Amino acid sequence: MGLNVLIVDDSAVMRSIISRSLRLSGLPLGELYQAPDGQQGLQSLDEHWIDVVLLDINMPVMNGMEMIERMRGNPETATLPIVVISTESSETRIEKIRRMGAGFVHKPFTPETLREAIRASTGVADDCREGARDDDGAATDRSRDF
Amino acid sequence: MTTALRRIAVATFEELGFLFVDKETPDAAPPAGGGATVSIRFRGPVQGTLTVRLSAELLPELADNMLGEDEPPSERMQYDALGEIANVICGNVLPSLVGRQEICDLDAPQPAEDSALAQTVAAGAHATRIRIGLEHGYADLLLAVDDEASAGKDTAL
Repeated sequence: MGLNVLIVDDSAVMRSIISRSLRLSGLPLGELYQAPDGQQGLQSLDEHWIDVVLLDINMPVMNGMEMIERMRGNPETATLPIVVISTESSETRIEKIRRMGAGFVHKPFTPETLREAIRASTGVADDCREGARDDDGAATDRSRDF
Repeated sequence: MTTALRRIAVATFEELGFLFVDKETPDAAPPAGGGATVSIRFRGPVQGTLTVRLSAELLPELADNMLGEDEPPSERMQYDALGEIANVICGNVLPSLVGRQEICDLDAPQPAEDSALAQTVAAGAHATRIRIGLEHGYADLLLAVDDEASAGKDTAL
């Protein structure tokens, strides 16, 4: 069974890039859902079965950090895999994201980088077999150091 | 700062926008018009604005490259694409301003007037301006810090 993915980013272009990268990644995919901000992202979580959330940090209405805090505070989403996809470069904030149990992918990214981050967060393998999670269940990836 | 801004902008246009960059294009005063402009504000230990103007003929091509769809992108999506380019450049250049420990927040990119670059410099902001040759066009970038106290925190590249 494929992964149902929620993509949360205020840029429609970036949501499209992420969707295309997912299709190129080789990951087993189910439904792809999109939201332009954290508030609508939380609403999508209420309405759909989601296996992993990919989200940006800097968004209007509700930013990514607040959305993660809300998710971790809700028993139904407290352990839901999250991968932050952002231009964030502050090691302070990236460390905080990691402590909240989320993976991190730096923009710009390749489909391969995104795949590895999702695999590390979800434990899913390309051939649909369940794989072992990493020890901390999350990954921090800097695909580009400009 | 000029070196870092140029290096990051070149990498972003090439890797995200798939636009070939002429690395030999020298800095020059922007032409009078004919560009698509977006601005993005950053807030933190330093505050300021990154403004990106792309020659008008390149905007549809940029969006088409980033989206990779059969249908030509709408004007809204074209500006969204340029805004995302500005977002990625801004986020990656901020460590050169504030270091890697400080946290900055970015506002959503906004379309801006072509005159935004000239107006920002005229207002006395501490600014770094570059031009990048892109295939048959150009991109002008202006990184402006709001006050001299913030500008004094520039770190070595």
